[in-house]
Amino acid sequence: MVKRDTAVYSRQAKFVRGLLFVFMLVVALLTLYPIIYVFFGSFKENKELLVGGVNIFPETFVIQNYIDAWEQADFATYTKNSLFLGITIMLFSLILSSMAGYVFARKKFRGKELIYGLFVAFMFINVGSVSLRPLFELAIGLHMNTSLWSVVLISAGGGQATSIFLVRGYMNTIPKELDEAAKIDGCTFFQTFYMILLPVLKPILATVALLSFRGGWNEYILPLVFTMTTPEQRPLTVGVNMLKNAGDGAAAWNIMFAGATIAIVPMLLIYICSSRYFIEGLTAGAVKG
Amino acid sequence: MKIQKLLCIFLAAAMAASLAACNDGSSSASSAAGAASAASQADEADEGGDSGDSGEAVTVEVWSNNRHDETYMTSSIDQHNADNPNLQIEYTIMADDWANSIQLAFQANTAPDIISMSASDGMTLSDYVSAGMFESLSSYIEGDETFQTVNEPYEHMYEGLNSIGDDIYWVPTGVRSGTRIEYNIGLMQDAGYDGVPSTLGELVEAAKAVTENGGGTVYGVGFTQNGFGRWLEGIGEMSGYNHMGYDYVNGVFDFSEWKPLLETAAEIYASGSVLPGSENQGVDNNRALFAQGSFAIWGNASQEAGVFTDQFPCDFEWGVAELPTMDGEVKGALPCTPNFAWVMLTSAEDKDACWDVISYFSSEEFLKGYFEGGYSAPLTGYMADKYDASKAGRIADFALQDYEDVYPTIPTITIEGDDYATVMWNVILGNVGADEAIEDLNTRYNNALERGLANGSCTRLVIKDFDKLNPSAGTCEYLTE
Amino acid sequence: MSAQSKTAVSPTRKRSLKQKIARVRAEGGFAAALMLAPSVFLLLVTSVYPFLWVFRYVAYDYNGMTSYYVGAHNFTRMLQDATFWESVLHTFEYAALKVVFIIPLALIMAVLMSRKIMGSGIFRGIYFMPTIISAAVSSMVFTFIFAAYNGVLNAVLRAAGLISQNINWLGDENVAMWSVIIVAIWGGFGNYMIYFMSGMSSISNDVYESARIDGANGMQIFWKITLPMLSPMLKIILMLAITGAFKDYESIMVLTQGGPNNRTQVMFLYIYQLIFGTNVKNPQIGYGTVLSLMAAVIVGAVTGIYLLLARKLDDVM
Repeated sequence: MVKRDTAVYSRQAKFVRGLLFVFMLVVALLTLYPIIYVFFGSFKENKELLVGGVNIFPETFVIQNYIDAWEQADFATYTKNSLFLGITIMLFSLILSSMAGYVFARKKFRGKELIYGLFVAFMFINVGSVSLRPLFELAIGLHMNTSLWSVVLISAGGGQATSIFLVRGYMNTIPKELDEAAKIDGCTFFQTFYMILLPVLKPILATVALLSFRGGWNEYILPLVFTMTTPEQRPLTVGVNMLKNAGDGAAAWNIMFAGATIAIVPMLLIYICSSRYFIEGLTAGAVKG
Repeated sequence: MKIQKLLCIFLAAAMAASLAACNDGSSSASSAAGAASAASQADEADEGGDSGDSGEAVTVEVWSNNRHDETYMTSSIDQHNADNPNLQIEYTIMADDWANSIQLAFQANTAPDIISMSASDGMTLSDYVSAGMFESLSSYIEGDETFQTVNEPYEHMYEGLNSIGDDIYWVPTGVRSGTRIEYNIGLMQDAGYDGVPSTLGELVEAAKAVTENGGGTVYGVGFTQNGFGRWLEGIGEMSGYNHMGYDYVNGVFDFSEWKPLLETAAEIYASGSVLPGSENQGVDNNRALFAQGSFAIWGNASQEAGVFTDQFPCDFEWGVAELPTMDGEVKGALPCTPNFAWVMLTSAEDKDACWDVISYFSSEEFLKGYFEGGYSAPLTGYMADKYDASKAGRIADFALQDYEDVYPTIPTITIEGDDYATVMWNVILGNVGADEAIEDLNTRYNNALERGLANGSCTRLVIKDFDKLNPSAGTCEYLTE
Repeated sequence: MSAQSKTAVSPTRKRSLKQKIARVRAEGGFAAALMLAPSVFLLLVTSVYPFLWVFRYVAYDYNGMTSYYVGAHNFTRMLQDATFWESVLHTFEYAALKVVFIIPLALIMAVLMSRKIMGSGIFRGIYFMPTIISAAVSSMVFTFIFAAYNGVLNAVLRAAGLISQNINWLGDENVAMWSVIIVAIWGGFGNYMIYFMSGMSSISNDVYESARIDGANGMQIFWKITLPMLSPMLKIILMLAITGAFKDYESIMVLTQGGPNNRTQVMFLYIYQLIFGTNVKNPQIGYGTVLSLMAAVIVGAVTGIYLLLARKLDDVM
């Protein structure tokens, strides 16, 4: 591939490619700088870290931050809970948004605009965390107030609108002839979805999967409330924030930085691994047209 | 590519394993825990049987939002649980969002029996009492003379904070001092000052001198976000200005007296004596900058004793000084913060056992160790005599002064627009004029009070015999109009 | 089609219930309803229900524990609340600036990612990283970067000779909004890049191939093929970006709390502060609810206008 490129492209094109590479590199460095700051900051003494300044490298590497973070927080359990939240919320989002997006894009029925409008409207109406109170009360009524499944349902329900829009938007770029051909071949409404469109939707579903997984992974206030009395259910976000150890004095930011660095590793590994499939999904879905 | 593949295989395996563990693990973990607790209960029952006591073991659940004292609390409680098989304390330290957690847990019937309490938690007592959440401790206190000796509950009744009328809802054992000035002795000396001056005007001059001496790298003062409440407010209160703008004698808001303080304090910014940008950084950042010697004057209460000795040790000598006032004389009380107290929730099942736990946490022996560990300072004269202050480190420098007291809680009004601390801070930053700000505050605060009286959400507190130097001593009257 | 269906309508009325059901089933009506049901159910439970619950308090002063009737006062208060209307203006400013920078950047990065330039896999990972790091930690790092006294940004600009005096990035009313937007772009462009990449994947490789054979260069391909074929997705992504920008407040809350002097106060931050009582002593949930209704109307109107414009543009193109 690379060889053919060099053969085909002119010297000018090569120069442009080089320029683009430099641009990408600059953006990458700017993006990375704060993260490198976090990484090296996690080895600093608390005082040195909080003073800030230009020196991103610690005076001495304090490994103790990591030992403290590891001992104070149960990372194995937290990671397991974060994975549970990420995976289940991802599965819910995939199922909900692919089906709803398909219906919204391909089915005409009375009240469709109304329901769609409701989804749009509730993207804007933001009563924020006040909604926690009624939802928590509801969960108490259903004896689900200590269950992570409540977090899964609320998080998936709150985030589904974005995914539905994405799937619907993507579906609109797919020619309708595809469905019609399927219909002629005798596929039912659901079969058309399941056998014809779902494979074509792979790229957008890959996106929904990635973003909803991350959404579940990043959830903070919800699990904070729902794991109030059950520390063994806490995900990484809640566990790491507790490392600040705020009491009557200064907070242990250095230990929290160490915890945050540990917490980023599983998610990054998942991203790097899935990104290969993600890219495959992106190319596999391309409609011949 | 190969590395990536390996990583993925590893990760997939780890995920599979952890998910498998998710199902088995949780059940086995809980069953293990269940077995353990069953076993320990069995032990307790045995021991109970041996001593001829047929009473069943009672477990009292306690939540705290304090982390700094975790080591002392857990080791003491472990000891207590070993000594008292019939009264077990289950102690949990909670995460963020403390007040909200308590309210939600109470609704869900998962609330503990006892929660920790401090005046700094900002939980308005009347709200929790009218919601039926807090249990009055008065009858228990009455019957416990040892408790009365150690904690002097009747001398530490603060209307609206820990008691309403004759009902006491929590008894503070410790206290966080009012604000002090912590200063870098060397930097002040270099600028020609032997200590912190006794008037605000001179303090502003000192800050200027340190800054001029600092050559652009060292500054006079460091503030933090919403810097007004840090120590400037305390200067006003000690100068006899209305606490939170509330005139207790007449039961109205009047911020007019604050004008000279605002104008003098604005000089600190106008003269460039403040560490640039410090008002946008958090408390911890500014503490670290102080400990690094970037500025000379910092103001905060007794928790700094631990911060600047253990957490951010200063490699210079630092002093603790009382706040200056406008004219060098103390004419009003400086608020201090009673803390380390316990509240019994109404949902507690065995209330007598709960009281036993509260009186254990408030016992002489327990508190002695607590204060000597430097986790808080004693509130009562009794405990102040009993503990060895030399063990508590620099907290002794923050000892309570005669003019420190707790103000009765002002009416809980619904302010429309920025609160007084934000507005006053804006005056000091030079964003708005002092006269304009004071007029605006007087109007909005009194309007809010009138509205609250009209819809019944608050009452007008009037203390006819209010003494600015002794605010907790007056007789409170609540008027509905 | 229309003539046929007209004749078909009248007999339908006379059809029996059984036949009707059969017809709906044949057209996939039941399947569609079943497929939509879970989403609608969750919408009702997790969004509509809490909203109605909170809505009860529009005429009350509610502090989270007890509520007091105030009639229409919350509404008249809103009309006179200068801070709120300023925050509305700031929200428009913030959203416009954020979208103007983040969308082109994300689009460019997505196009570059789709070409097989050396290391694009690693770059993808890097661009994604800001979206997974703890917000508390990254905001702390940005206060170090923006610090007026010893911040990295000032140091770099001074070294480059671009400024002679340190800038108070978070405390100066003239620049604070830009600082907040820089953080928003940093934290968000990786997200929109992914949206664009998935949108672009629906464009067939054959189209590109044939364009290349016809001698089109990179720019021509982008303007003539990528952009037009991306337009259905672009519309959705833009809408998500606009509504997202209108709803942003978390990073502003940590960086400036809406300051200096309310210069970076945006609608939803103001509402949050009211509802949680961070700026006022007691939570004011009733008033916060009224404001969030107003905010919903404003964002709804913006989206409506945007959708209208987008449709008009379609007609023109």
